[in-house]
Amino acid sequence: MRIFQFLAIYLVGLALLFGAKFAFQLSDYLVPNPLELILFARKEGRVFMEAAANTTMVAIAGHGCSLLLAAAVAFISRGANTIGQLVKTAAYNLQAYPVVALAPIVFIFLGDGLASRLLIAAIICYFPLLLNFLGVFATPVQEVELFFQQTGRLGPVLEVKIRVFENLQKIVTVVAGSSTLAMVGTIVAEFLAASNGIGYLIRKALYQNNLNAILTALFCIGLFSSGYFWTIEWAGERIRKELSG
Amino acid sequence: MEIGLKNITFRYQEARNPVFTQLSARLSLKGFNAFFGLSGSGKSTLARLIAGLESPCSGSIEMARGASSSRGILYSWNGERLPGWQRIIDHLHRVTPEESYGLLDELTKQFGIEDLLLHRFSRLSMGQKNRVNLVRYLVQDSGLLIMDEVLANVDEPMRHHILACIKRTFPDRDIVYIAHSAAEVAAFAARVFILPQPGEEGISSIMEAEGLDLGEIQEIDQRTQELIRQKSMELLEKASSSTLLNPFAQGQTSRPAASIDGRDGL
Repeated sequence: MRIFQFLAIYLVGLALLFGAKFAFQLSDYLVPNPLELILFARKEGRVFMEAAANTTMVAIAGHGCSLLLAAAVAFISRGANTIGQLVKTAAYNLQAYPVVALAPIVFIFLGDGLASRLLIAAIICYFPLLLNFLGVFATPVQEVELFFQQTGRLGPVLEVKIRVFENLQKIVTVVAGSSTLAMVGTIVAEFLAASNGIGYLIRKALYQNNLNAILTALFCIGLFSSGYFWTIEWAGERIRKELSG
Repeated sequence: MEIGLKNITFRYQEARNPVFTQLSARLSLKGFNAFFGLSGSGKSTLARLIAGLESPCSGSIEMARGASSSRGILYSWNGERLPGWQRIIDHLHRVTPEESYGLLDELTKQFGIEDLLLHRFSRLSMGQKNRVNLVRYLVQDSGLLIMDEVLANVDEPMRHHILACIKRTFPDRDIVYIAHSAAEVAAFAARVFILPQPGEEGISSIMEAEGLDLGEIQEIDQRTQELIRQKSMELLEKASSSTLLNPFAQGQTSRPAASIDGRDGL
């Protein structure tokens, strides 16, 4: 469904672009004609698909890392203690920095390889996840917790389990939403300095003023991105159904 | 269990008026008791204060437990839910002390929830949820169990059957039952603590009245029915009074709960 939604939006975008081209008689140099785009896509499509797949793999790995890290940090700092407050404030402040401002520091220290792409992907989706997890982990579900609390059975693991279960839908929505951020982070990293992935191909296309390449890249990004988004939503729904019985 | 309320003042953070102001009383909660009052009179707030789930703005609550027990107070209410990832039977087995498995079986039979045990809690009706929730509290070892409208969604005959069953099964357990049905409270409770309607200053005293302390009320004679009716009218009259400036003026059958220092409440 997500993929069909993307295809519909992509086609509408293309139609508008080519509509503008013919309406304002824009040159082929600025906006290539549709046939040229199709030929380019047939010739170079495989390279772009492979690059997008590579980017998606890095984004998934970065997304997974930030999920684990955000869950761990939120678990430790979920209480209304000083550490919890400090982490919350730091998370709010740090997410205000655009990733492009942080990326050069990462590239200076880690070079232009996989590690930099992974780290930037993780950074960009880490803070929204952390804020969401902090909110969920720190909000009591009195209706369920009271019994365990009064009978001395409410340990930290059970407490978090209850809160996660009660907010599963919200968590899945945020995790799915942050998957697109992970893609964005990886692409930005590749665009800035890496020598691999779809972001790198976009940078090359920009230097060559090649709109065919950019449109093909956008198609591949959208395809993989919506596929990943759909997979998370599907997995979340399966988990919810499985747990709810 | 004896509870001493000493100059309790309590106001909810967002509220304009306090619920209690300088409330002092000694509540002797041995056996089956009830808190009674109209909506908004502060029954649940008092129960939550006693259970330690709310803290008074000022004043203190002292507890003199019976010789038998250093056990705690459990507060149960009708909005509670079981964890959604477990079947009811799995949850009940997990939270029931091993020595109470027999009691658990007996209660599930008596409360009519035997056939629901393989379900998830979310699949039950409101009344079934109430019954399952109450069972898990009853199998816990507690010094005082407060049941705050725990059977609010259960039909009347079943509710009466359950109350009678609780009184029969736990004759020595200290229980506070909170409900809106004056007849029910009058019939089952041994003692009823009546909270009047709070004025702008909040409640500063609690009335105590004898209940009929009946067991089964399914097949009662006309005389008992009349007694229940009279008692419930009396409770309603007390609960409707806006403040208890002169509680003795309203009848001799009820009296203010003794204040903490042994003097009368007012």
